[in-house]
Amino acid sequence: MNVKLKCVLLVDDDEAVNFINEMVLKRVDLAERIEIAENGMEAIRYLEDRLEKGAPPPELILLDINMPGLNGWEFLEKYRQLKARLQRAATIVMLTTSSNPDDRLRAARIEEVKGFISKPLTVEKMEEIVALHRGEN
Amino acid sequence: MESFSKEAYQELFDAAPDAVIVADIRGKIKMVSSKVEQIFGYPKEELTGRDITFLVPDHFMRALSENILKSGILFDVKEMNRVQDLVARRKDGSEFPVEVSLRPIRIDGKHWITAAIRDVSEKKKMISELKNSLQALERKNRELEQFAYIASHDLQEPLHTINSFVQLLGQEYGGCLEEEAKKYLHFIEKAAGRMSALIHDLLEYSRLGQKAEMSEVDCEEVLQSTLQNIDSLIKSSGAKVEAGPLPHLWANKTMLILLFQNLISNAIKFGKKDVIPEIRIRAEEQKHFWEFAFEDNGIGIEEEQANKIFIIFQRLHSRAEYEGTGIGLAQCRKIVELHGGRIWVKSEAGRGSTFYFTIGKRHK
Repeated sequence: MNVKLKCVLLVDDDEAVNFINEMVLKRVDLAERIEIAENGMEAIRYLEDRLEKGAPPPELILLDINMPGLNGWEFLEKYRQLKARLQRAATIVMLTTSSNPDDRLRAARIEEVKGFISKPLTVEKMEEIVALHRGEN
Repeated sequence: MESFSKEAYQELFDAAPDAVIVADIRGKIKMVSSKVEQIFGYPKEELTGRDITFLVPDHFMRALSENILKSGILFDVKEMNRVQDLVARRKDGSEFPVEVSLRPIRIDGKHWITAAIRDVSEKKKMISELKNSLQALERKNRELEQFAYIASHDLQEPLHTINSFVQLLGQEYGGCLEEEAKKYLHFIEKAAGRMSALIHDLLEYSRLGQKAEMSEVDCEEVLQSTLQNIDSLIKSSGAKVEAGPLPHLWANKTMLILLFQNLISNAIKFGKKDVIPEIRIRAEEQKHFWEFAFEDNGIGIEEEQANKIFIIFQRLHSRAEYEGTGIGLAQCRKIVELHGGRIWVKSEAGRGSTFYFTIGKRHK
């Protein structure tokens, strides 16, 4: 694997899902740091916090759709407003249980979203995501 | 006042939106309006002197019972009469549905009958289309409810198996498992438990409204039953529930209790920390319905989130903050809609919420 990422942000409300995602990320040894946000609002707050501290934002965000409070779509709307102020844009990949083609289509129309991967996350899927990210950068 | 000329009367007669026929009491046509020419395709002269049944298809004449046509309404009209579901025939032989309004009149001491005939083809077509789509919709709805019911029922089985074996594994092999493995088991157990709760709620939700009998219900009684059901919650939270006078409704009592229960327990559950929950209930009479309001002093809902809360399994907070599957308000909406009403919320984050719903005064 190439150079490690500094930080990956996992956004999901399910503790077990975050546990598995973190495990897979560690297995592929992709990132120096893994951050977890339990919903869209927490993720936005995390990004704002990075901004305030002048710290670089995560390079990769794995985003769930169905979450209480601010869901994945709503996170993306808020992220858009934030994006211009971030030091660099993150690669955002939807990681979701949804098999709804409408969701896939909706994701494809959003510029910031680079991929749509179905849960559960596996090492193979993670490698696919990494390839997506490297392709973007 | 100046009176109209004869021509003017003719014009008025022709201007009537319906095709108008004047016949004697035996049904012989005396005169017809221009609209009759238009919709039947006969020139006026061809109709004058003919029997009015000339414009009705033979097979329909035979099908019409004697007492409606011959002895009854058509030729012995005592008062204004509307005959629906009649069929008329044009000159070219084609048939079309009509509605006929019959009215007896007296001119120069002689009795006549006026028949105002309206072509209702379009109306009939629209009604039948509407009926068809309504039936299709009802069928779809039933299918969907049935589906949710069967699916959730069948999903319970394998889930019980998972639960049983996870428990067995923990009990019999727990000692030889490493911490990490125990963690996995814990996740399985938790997920299975949540799925069980979701399926249970889905089942309840799909059952709502099946065989719901309506009767006159006293909402004061509904409130009393509700408060009894959630007595321990009210006592442990110290919540105060106040209600103004509540009406009698035509409703399903069990469903109303569930509605009240969900709204009150939500108000308590989403109360502010260290503030005693206060819930004020009032009912306001409107022309066709009663409007209820359940006002609380809880944490409120952000405006942009308010439209989501009535959707099944939608939650605004993490499970760690507030338990539950997110079924309560979806149930409320289904109950209100089954009673022909609607439900909505006015709220502001941090400033409490007021849930409103309407229920028709007499809905069947």
